[in-house]
Amino acid sequence: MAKKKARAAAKTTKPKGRTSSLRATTRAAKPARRAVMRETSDREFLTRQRIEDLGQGFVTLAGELWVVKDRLAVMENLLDKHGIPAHEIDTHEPDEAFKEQLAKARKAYIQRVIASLFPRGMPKAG
Amino acid sequence: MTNAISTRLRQHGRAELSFVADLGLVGGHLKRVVRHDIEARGLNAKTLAADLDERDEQVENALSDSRAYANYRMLHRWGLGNLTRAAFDAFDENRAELEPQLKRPTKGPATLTVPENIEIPKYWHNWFHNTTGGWDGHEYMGFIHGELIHRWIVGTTFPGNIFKQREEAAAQAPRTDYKRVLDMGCGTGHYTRALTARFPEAEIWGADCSLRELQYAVRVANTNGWAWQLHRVPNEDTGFKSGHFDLVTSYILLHEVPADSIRATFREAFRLLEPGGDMVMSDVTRYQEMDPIAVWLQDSAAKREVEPFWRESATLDLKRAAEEVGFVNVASYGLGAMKYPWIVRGTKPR
Repeated sequence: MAKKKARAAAKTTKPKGRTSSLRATTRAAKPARRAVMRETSDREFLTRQRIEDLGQGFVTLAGELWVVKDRLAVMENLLDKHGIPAHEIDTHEPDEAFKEQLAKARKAYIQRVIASLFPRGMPKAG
Repeated sequence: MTNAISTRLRQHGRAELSFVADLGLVGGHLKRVVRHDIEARGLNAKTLAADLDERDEQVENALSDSRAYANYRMLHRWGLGNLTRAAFDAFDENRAELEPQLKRPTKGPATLTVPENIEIPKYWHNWFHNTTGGWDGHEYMGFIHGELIHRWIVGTTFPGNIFKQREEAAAQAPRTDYKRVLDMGCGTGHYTRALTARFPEAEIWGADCSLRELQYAVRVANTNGWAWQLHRVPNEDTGFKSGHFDLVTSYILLHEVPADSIRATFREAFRLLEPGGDMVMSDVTRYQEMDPIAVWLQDSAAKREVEPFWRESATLDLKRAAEEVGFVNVASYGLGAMKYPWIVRGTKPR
């Protein structure tokens, strides 16, 4: 706890003339163009308390990825056994029905991964 | 319209670009959650600071415990860092098929003029939209930006239909009998195409600073038999003959340039128009038309997306800027519920 407080105190100690790093960024934004490079390079949003959420997300993602890798290996093996060269996967153009199927699966997959960044699943907007 | 290049992609590029696009849609959902979080913290039109920098600090502080905001920003950062990279990778994976098509000389009525000793404005060398290397950052940036990024990703994630929006902007010109039309900042020709469809009898000209975008625009035009006359010149100083055009127009160009350049572009449009000719410029929604939370969401995203001139453009009174250079009957308004794109149009007095 004491360490935490010390870290917090260290974080709030600013050089003379600057009330906060955020203020320094935003005050410089007149015109806004000057703030751009700082804005995109300095900020940290996955702070310490978010690391646990991130870990959960990574594990979910890794699990999903392995399911796909396993399935792909099985499929390529089966294809080769049945005389279809697996490299055709690269150049295969999905038809409309398959495109739709892929899109539906992809959206659900992304939802599942991103939802895992929230303790109670994907929040609703309102 | 016939596509200039086959955009069939191999599995990795196809899957990754689709992933990037769909991730953008989830980001859009989180943005709405962030908005809810802002409101839930008691911030609204009455309590938010009028000054945009103060408002930014106010909202950032209020959202310090918002998981939605942290994850929205994390996703946004990933998107910014990976959008162009994914498109470059998709190109490289398909280079064997794409490069011969892009190297093949084009035959057709379109022309590209690249004058020597033109002065490209300093601001143009910025990396707009966080696009790696800027508009000419890849040998085939016209194809990569115009097709892989704009059509494939932006086309599926941006609210509304980005091509229909161009057609609607072109339809804001008060006449349909124009003889010579200039598209300022034509890029790879997405809007030029809408102008060609709207004014099929007109001579269509395009101006842009990006050689790579123009090279691809020539290919698009020739593939379709369109006699576009494309020039690598800055909008503020095209060098074209005074009074040559009866319509000068642009689509979502103004927020890419500083306010002084917007005024200079209007001045140049005025010079290039014959008396009685029309200017129709379209751009992003004005901040004054948006609620304060929407402004904050847009303004802070613009900073992250390396849109250094968005704020000064979105807060500029375009009607007044057009009137100051001499246009009359000036109208300034947004299209549809989103008021996007924003239109400013006026006529050069006879």
